[in-house]
Amino acid sequence: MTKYLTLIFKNLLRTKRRTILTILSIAVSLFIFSVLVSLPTFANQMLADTTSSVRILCRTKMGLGYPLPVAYKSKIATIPHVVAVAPLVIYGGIYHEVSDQFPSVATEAKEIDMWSDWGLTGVDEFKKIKTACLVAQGTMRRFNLHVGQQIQLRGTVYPFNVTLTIVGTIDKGPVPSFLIFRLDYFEEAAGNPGIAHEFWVRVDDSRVVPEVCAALDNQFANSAAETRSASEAAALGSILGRYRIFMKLAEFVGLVAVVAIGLVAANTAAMSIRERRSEIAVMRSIGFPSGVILSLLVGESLIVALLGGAIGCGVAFGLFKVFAFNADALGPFVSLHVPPFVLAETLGVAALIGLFSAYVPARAAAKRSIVETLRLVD
Amino acid sequence: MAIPFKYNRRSLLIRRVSNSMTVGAIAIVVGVFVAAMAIVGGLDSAIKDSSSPDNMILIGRGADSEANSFITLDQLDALKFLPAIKRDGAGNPLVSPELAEQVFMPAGDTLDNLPIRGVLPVSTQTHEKVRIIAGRMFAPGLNEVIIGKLILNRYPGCSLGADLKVGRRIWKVVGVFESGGSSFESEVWGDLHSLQEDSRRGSSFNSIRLKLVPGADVHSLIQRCADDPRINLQAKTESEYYKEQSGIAANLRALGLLVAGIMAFAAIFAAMNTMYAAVAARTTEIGTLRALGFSPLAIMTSFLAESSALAFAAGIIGVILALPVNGLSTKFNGGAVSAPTLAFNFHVTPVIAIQALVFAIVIGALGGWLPARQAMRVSVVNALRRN
Repeated sequence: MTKYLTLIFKNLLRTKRRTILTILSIAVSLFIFSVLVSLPTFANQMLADTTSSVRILCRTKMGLGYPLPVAYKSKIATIPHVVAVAPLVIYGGIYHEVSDQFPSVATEAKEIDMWSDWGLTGVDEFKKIKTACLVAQGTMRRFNLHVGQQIQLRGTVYPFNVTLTIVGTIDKGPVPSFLIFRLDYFEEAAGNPGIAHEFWVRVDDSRVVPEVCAALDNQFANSAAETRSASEAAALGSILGRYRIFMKLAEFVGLVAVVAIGLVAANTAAMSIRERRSEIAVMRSIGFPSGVILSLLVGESLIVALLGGAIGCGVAFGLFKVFAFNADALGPFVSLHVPPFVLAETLGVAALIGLFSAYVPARAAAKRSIVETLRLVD
Repeated sequence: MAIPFKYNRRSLLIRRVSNSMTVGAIAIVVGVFVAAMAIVGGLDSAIKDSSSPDNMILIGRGADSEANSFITLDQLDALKFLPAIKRDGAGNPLVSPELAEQVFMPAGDTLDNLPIRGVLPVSTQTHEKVRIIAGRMFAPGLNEVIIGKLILNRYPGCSLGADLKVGRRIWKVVGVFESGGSSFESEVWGDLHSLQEDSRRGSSFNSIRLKLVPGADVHSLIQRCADDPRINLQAKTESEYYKEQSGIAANLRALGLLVAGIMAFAAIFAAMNTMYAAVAARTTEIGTLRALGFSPLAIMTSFLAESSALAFAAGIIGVILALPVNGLSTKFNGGAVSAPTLAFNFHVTPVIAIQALVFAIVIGALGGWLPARQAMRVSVVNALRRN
């Protein structure tokens, strides 16, 4: 076995430049592949995390400019199986620059436990201080904020600003970047409009979610403000669906990159095998079985492809570990980081490229008549 | 003296399979470039084409788009009769207060933000590109709307004569309009007062559009709108406003270029491999050419031309591969959850095609550079001694 490996490496080192160029070419393409394939991971992870949730999102059926009356809260609370209701107002403020936007919402302080699974810190202060806010870790990092700091958000939809004190963080919320502050502060500043853009509803059992959703929408059907309720996973999925075109494009380009690189790898393999035709014939005439020759050639291309793949996804993994790139242009649900399973996926793709690109020319070389090949003197 | 290009063409044809694989790889990279630019270009022009050169838009201070701006009737009244504003034949100022609302529309299992714009009859004079192509204009005061041609049949109720159930009421679709490929073609337009009532917006607006008299002093108008406490609005030319709004397209363009650029490196490495192999296989030939009197520079030029020609052919194939995306229609949901859904067409423009071909030639030239230099340095004696 070792002697075969030595032979493979000797052959690879014979044409150092070609080997390096091929490895680099594969590395670049698989870098792109691993990054693009990673884009939707965050979204998928988010959906997987919420599938067994006991929460329902009850939103306005009409549009973002058509909020629901906050008085719906008490009506929702009387529906069987409902254990908690939290109204949410979308404030949509701007921090410093217009380009610095992140979602900002307000809710009732006493209902903040609705989201206790989001890794909240500073909940006690949030319940005590009227100007308190909780900020997601992504936002904290991006603007270099710290707990205790005061920040001002500029209102755009609403004609007033809010000045908030960061009392805690949200460590694993559904989106990497957002902020929650208190509804009583919003109400006071806005002159008590009595509105909510959505209600988060917790029920006592995940099995009754569809039933409660139907009850909610029935309750408000044919009223001036109709609702559309769905399980948390379905509601978030419908928001995520808005970004599907990006996900599809990313997947498509990733696939295209793999096809392109398959061509490059196949070309290289064919080139190096063609050059060694007579040498392969000699090896076979001194007794190497064609199966061994085939595995030698395929093994060579496999090593090149795997090396390229390892470099490509390794660089992608390391790059996004070190630099937290901002992917806001792609929407709030995309975060650039390469999860471990994508590393495995990339290496798998690399292995396939290595195997398939060399198989056809290697098989031809291993099967070709020895006499014919040896007669071809170039 | 230069080596005839016929030599390169014949040489390329000898290694048909190998060269066509390289061509394929470069063509794919070029195709990705073209498709990315076609998407971004389509999105960009849909946003930018919404402007008219002599129009201004006014939005609330601190708002970054009309979607999150708030304007009152008093503010409108304070600016309506400013002298810089053009009048129609009857002396009415061409000032169009507009409400830009969004309503949820089911699209598969997701919800799109369908933009619905409340306008007055004057809007057809401020947005002169808007033209009814089927049916008629909506009548003020009735629950009637017209829809942009890009959302025709895209959502339930978006067809001529259909009932469109959005907001709190049912609207009758009485017309379809086009607007020179602009973002208005993704919108529903209806009567301002009906929409204000439906969305409980009182008498407020999101934006005010106005048409300027020829040669109007834009700067003093902007200043006036900002300084006059009764107006207190930010005024911009529409072209400036829509240029800002296309920031998302600029981000996407940068992203597309980045991906294409990185993939170009892979293509360059592939071209290098091919050309190095070509140089190695033709060492004797190179020696012969040198012995015949061709200069080293002529040899290098010849190999560079060969690899550029290879890449150019790949570029043409790449453009052709990507051509079917031209005219495809898609929709874009913006960066934020609250961004309106914008429908647009992919545009493979001649400019993009030319850029793609230049991109391909650059790949070929960069990939061929080092191998060509090596070919130039082949020593005549050694090359001819081999074999």
